Amino acid sequence: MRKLERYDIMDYMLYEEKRSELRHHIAKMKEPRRIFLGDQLLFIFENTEMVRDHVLETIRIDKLFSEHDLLRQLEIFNPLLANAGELRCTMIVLGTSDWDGPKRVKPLKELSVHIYLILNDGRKVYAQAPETASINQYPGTLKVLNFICGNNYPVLIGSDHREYKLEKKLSPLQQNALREDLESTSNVIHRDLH
Amino acid sequence: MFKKKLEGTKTCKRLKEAFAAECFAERRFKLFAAIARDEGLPAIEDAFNEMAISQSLHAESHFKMLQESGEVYYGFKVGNTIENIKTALEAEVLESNECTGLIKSATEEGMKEIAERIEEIAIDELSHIHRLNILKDEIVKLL
Repeated sequence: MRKLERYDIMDYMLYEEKRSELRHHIAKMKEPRRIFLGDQLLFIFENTEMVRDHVLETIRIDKLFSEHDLLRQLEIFNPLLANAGELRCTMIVLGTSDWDGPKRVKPLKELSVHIYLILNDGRKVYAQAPETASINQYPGTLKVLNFICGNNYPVLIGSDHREYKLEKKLSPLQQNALREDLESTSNVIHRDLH
Repeated sequence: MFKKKLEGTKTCKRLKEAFAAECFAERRFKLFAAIARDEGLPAIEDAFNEMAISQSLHAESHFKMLQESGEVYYGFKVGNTIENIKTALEAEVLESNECTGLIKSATEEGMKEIAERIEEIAIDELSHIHRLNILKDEIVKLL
């Protein structure tokens, strides 16, 4: 997947003008990339356009207008994007947390390494939690996971953790969306909107 | 330091509650100010912003009393900048945990739009964690 470059980030005023249209487009794009595995795990597979949306929204909300701030946002958000032949997602463990007793949050230990995808050639690829994503260095209910798929796309997602064993076949829409992302290394983002 | 120990007292508990309430009030005034601005009422906007500053000073005063007494709030230590970066990191991780609980209830109760908005906020928390990590590494290099 292509990493974001400075030229992907449109001017603040132009974004204000295009925001509603873009947000609608991103919401539709997000739909098949938001995948539940049972009632405890949610995976949000990111692509270049979705991560660009995070950057643009952060710039808008935090009112970041300096060149330095914009470049920093790229540095912060680019680790969410996978390299060529890989898929990357944010895994959200939908546990119940307690703000007054945060130590009580006990996500399933070592869950990340038990998550896998079955590819269309029948191969099983396990998730890796890249260290470049800072959240993976801390215990918690959010993790950034990476899957090395090569030239194949996923047809099923599963977990073989002893406390959470299940599999889910991906719908044709989900399969197509992830296949598109795997093939999108040189994708150009909505040039017409710039 | 205060002459009497604050830890475990009713005063300490209420001081913590008062700190939270002042923080909440500050944010509320700021949101009200933004609404006044959008309604083209700059004088009201200024008044709300001034009141927000006042609430913020109250919160700061409560926080200093807790700090001077050696008390911690939600288990977070306050120290020098490197210690505070570590505290901020811990707090951000907890905030992201808090988001996941919220996503779960919104999903279970069929409020998909709320769940998706919180997911975006959770991903934003990840960016804060990443930034704080960079700051921590940079400051360690300077020491």
